[in-house]
Amino acid sequence: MTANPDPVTTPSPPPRPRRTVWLVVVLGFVVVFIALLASGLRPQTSTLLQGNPAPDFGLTAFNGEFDGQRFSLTDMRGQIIVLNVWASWCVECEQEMALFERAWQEYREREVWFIGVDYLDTDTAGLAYLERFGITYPNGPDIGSRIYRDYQCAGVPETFFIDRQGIVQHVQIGPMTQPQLHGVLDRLLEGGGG
Amino acid sequence: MLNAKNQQPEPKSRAENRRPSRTARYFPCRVHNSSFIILRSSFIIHFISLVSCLFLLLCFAMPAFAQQPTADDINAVASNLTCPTCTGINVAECPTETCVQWRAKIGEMLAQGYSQPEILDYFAARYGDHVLQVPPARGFFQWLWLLPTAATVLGLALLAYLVRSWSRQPAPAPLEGEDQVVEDEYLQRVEQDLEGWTE
Amino acid sequence: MAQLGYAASLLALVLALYASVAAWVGSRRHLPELVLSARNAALAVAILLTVAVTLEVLLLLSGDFRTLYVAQVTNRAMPPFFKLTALWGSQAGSLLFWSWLMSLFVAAAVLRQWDRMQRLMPYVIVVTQITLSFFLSLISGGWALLAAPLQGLGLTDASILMADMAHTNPFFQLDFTPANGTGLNPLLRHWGMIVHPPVLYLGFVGFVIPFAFAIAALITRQTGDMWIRTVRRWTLVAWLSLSMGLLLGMWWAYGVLGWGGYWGWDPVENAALMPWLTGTAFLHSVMIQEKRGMFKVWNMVLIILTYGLVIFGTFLTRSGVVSSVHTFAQSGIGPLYLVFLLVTVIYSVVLLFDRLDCLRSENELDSILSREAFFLFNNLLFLAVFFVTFWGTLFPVVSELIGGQKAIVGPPFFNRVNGPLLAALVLLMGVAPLMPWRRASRQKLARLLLWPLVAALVTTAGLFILGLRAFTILPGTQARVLPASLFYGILAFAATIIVQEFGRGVRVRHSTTGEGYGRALCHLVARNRRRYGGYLVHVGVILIALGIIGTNFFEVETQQSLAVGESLTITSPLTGTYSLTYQGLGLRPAPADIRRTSATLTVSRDGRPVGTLYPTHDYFIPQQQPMTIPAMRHSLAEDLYVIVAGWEDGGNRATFKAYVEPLVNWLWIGGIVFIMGTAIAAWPAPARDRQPATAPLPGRPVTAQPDAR
Repeated sequence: MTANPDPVTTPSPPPRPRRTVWLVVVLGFVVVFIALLASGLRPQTSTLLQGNPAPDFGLTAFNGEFDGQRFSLTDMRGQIIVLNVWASWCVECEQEMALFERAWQEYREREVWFIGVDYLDTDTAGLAYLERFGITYPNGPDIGSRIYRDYQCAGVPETFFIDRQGIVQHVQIGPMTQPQLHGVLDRLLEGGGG
Repeated sequence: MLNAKNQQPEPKSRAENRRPSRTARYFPCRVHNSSFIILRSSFIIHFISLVSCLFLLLCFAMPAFAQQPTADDINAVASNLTCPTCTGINVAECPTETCVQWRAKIGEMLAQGYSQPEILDYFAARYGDHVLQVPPARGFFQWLWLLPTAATVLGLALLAYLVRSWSRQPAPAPLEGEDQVVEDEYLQRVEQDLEGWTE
Repeated sequence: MAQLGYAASLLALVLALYASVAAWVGSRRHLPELVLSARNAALAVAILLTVAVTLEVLLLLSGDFRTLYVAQVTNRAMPPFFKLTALWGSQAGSLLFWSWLMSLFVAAAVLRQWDRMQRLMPYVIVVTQITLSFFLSLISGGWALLAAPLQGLGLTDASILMADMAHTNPFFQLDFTPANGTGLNPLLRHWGMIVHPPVLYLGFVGFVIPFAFAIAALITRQTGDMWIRTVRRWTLVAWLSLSMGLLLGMWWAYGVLGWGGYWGWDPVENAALMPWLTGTAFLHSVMIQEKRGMFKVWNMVLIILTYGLVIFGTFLTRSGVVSSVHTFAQSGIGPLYLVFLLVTVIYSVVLLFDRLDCLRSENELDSILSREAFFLFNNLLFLAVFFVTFWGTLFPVVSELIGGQKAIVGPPFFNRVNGPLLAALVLLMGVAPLMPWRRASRQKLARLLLWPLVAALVTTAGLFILGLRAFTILPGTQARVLPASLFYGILAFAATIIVQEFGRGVRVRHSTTGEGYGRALCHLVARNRRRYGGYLVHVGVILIALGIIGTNFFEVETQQSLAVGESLTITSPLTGTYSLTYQGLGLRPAPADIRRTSATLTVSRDGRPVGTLYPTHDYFIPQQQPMTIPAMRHSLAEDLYVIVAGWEDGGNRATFKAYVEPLVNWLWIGGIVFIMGTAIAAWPAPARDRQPATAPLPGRPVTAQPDAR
C-alpha cells in the first residue's frame, strides 16, 4: 500500500480502546433508530382493545334533548355503553343509523346508552346528518379527535361495546347488522363476557 | 369502508358559502321617557341616545358589511391546514367532503371577522394539532425545531474540530511563492490538463 | 407459465445464496475454481431473473387473472401500455423488478471488472448476492413457512404477518379465476409511470455496486483509491439515474396532481432525496481522496450511509411506518426489512471500525481557503440538509412514540429550514471551483471573485428595487429574514464564476493552440470532461434553482366559480394579466373505463388572445375515482396552469383554479442541462487520450501497484 511519507505529521486513527467506545456509541444510535422504526410498525388497530379496559372519553352532546350535557366514561360506570364513531360523509355509517336509533329506543330503559361520536365534521354538517336519520341518542363532536385516537380507530364506522365494569367487550369495524347488534347487547345485559 | 369512501365519486359543487346573516340585529334603542326631564336636557339626552344607537347599530351591523370572503381568501387560510383523511394534501386543494365542509366553515369564520391565526387555532383545538401543517411550538413538538438547531451547533463544533485535527501543523509563512495557482499561461494549460484527469 | 416464472425466481434465489457462499469460501481458501463458479452463478441469476420478468410481463399482458398479482394491478379495460407498467405498480411486481435490475447491474460489474479487480471481485459478489437473496426471498413466499412455528410460539401477530408474505409472490396463483381485475390506481395512469419508477429504481439499485466495492475494499484491506476509481463511473450512473428519477417524479407530480407544485416533502419523496444528498456529498468528497488521499474514512461512512438510506427508503415506502401518498399496502415486509437494514449497517460499521488503520489520511488540510476545505463545507451542508429532511420525515413517528401526540410535518417546515441551507450550498457551489488545491492566494482569489460579487450585488439590489419584495420566514416564527432577490443574487454569483471559468479556459486554449474560440471550447470540454462536465452540471443546478425560487416565492393562485361567458383574471408578476373566459363543458373521447369531461377556456393576456385551454376531469368508472388533469400554457417566463375543480347545473357553472408559476420551465431545462453535464463528465475518453492514472499532485505519494499489500 502507500507508504506514509512523514509519520509525525500524518494524523493516525485513535487507539483501540477509544475506538471501541466510539463504536459502541455509533452502534447504540443505530439500534435506537431501528427500535424507533420498529415501534412504528406495531399494529395499531382498535380490535386490540377487546377485553381491555376502555380508554376514558369525554363528550359534550350537541343534539336534541341532550344538548350541552357532558358524558364521560367515568360518570357512566355501571351502564352499558355502545360507542359509535361516525362521520357525515361516511356512506357505510348510514346503513346502521336507523338500526341504532331503534335499538336505542328499545334498550334505553335497560340502561344501555348509545353514544355517537362525530369525527371531523363541522357542527352544522353533523347535526344535519342526525336530523336526516332522526337520531335522538346523545351525539357529540370528537374534540381534538381524541376519542378517535384513544380508541385507535382507523376509519369510520367503528363501534365499541363497553360493559358495566368499563371493559371493551366487542369491537365492530364497519357497519353492524341487526342480529349482530342484538346478539352483543343481549350478551352484555346478561353480564357475560365477550 | 373507511377513509376510501370519503372520496366522493362526483365532484360536488363547492358548498356555497353560508352568507353572513344579513339580519343584523337591530337593538331597539331605549329612549328614556322624556316626560320627566326638562326640555333642554331631554333634547341632549335624545341626541346622545340617538347617536349611541347609531353607533351600536354600526358596530353590530359591521360583520354584515365585511367583505364576503372570496374563494381565494378561504384558500389562503385553508392552505395552512392538512386534510386528516388524505395524506400530504392541504385543505385548499383537497376535494373530499371533509375539506369542503371545512372550507365552508372557514368562510363563515372569515365573514364573522376572525383572523387567520384565530381560525387556525380553532381548527387545531377542535380537530387536533395534526390538522396543522406544522405542529405548534409547544410541548414535545418544540423538538422539531430544537433538534436541528442543536445539530447545527454540534455541526459547527465538529467542523472546527475537524479543521483543527487535519491541520495539526501551524500554518507556515504565507506560501505566495509556492502557490498552486499560477500566472504563466503555459503552466496554466499544463495545470488544466493535469486537473482534467482524462484517465 | 406462472409456474415457470416462479421456478425461475426460486432457482435465482438458490443460485444467489450459492454464489455468495462459494465466493466467500473460494476467496478465503484460495480456490479460484469456486470463485469462478460463483461468478457464473451470479451471471445465471441475472439470466434467470430476466426470464422471470419476461414471464411476468406476459402474464400481465395476457390478463391471466388467476395470478393474484395480475388481478390486483390490471383489469380488462386497461390499455396494454399500462399493463406493462403495472409490473412495478404494486409490491410483489416491483420487488421482482427491483431484483432483476440489481442482478443486471451485478452481472455488468462482474463482466467488466473481473480481470482488473481480482482480489475484490469475490467479496463484491458476496455482498451483492446476499442482498439479492434477501430481496428474492421476499418474493419467494419462503417467509410464510415461518408462520406455523411462530404460531406455535404464541406470537400470533408475527405469524399472521409472515403468512401474509405468501402473497408477495408475483406468481402466486389463486384457487379460482376472477372475472376481472382491480386495475392500477388512476393516479398512476400517466406516461410518467413508464419512466419514473424504472429510472428511480436504477438509481437506488445502482448504489449497491459502490457499496459492495467499498465493503470488499475494507475486507481485503485494499483501501487505497483503487476501489474508488473503479466505481467512479458506476456511482455516477447510479447517481445520475437517481437524479433523473427525482426530476421525472417532479415533472409527473406537476403535470398530474393539479396543485401547481412538484415537490411536497412527502415521506417517500424524502426517502428518495436523502440518498441523493449523501450520494452527491460522496461524489464530491471522493475527488479529495483521489487527489490528496484524505477523507478516506469519511468516504466509507458516506457510501455506507447512502446505501443504508437506499434500504431505508425502500423500507419507508413499503412498510407504511409513515403515511404517504406513495405507500404500498401494509404487509409483513416491514420487520424483515428492518432486520436486513440492521444487519447490513451493523456489519458495515463494525468492519469499518476494525479497518480504521488502513484508512489513514495521507495529507492534511493546509488552509481553510482550499478546495479540500470547501469540499468539506459542501459535505457538511449536504449532511445538514439530509439531517433536517430525515428528522422532519421521522418526527411523526418519534412524536407518537415519545410525545404521545400525533403530528404532521408539512412543507412549511422543510421549506423554511432547508431553503437557506440549499441557498448556502449554491453559494458554495459557486465559489468552490475557484479554489485551488492546498492553499489559495488571497489576492488571486479576490481578483477572481470581483466580477461575480459585483454581479451578485447588482442582481440582488436591482431585483429588489424593481419590485421583487418577497422574503423568507424565520423557521418557527413569522419574522421576515432574507429577501428572495438575494437568492437570485447568489445564482448570478455562481453563474458568473462558471462563465468566467469557461472563459479562462477557452482563452488559454485559444492563445496556446491558436484555435478559434468555438473549437477551443469544444476541445477544452472534451479534454477535461470531468471538470467542465461538472461545471455544466452546476449550470443545470443554477437553472433548476431559478425555477424553484420563482415558483416558491412568486406563485400566484386564484379560485373562482364562473358561469358560461364569465371571466377570471389572474395577474402574473412577470408578464401581464391573464383573462380566462369560460365557454362551456363537454364530454371527450376517452378509453372505455373513463368518463372524460373537459372545459373550454379562452385565454387572453392584457387584452390580446393567446390561446385556448382545456382542463379535464377524468372519472374512472370501475374504481369510482376522479382525477383532474390540468391544462397548461408554457413559456420560458412562466406557466399558466388551470384545473376544473367542479361544476353544477349541467356545466352552466364551473369552478376553476388557476395558477401562474413563474420560471417553472427552467426546472426542466436545468434538468436536461444537468443530465448532459453528468453524461459529459462520465463519458470515457478515447483510449489514445488516456494518460496513466498516476499524476497526483506534488506532495502526494504516488500509488504503487494496486495489489501491493
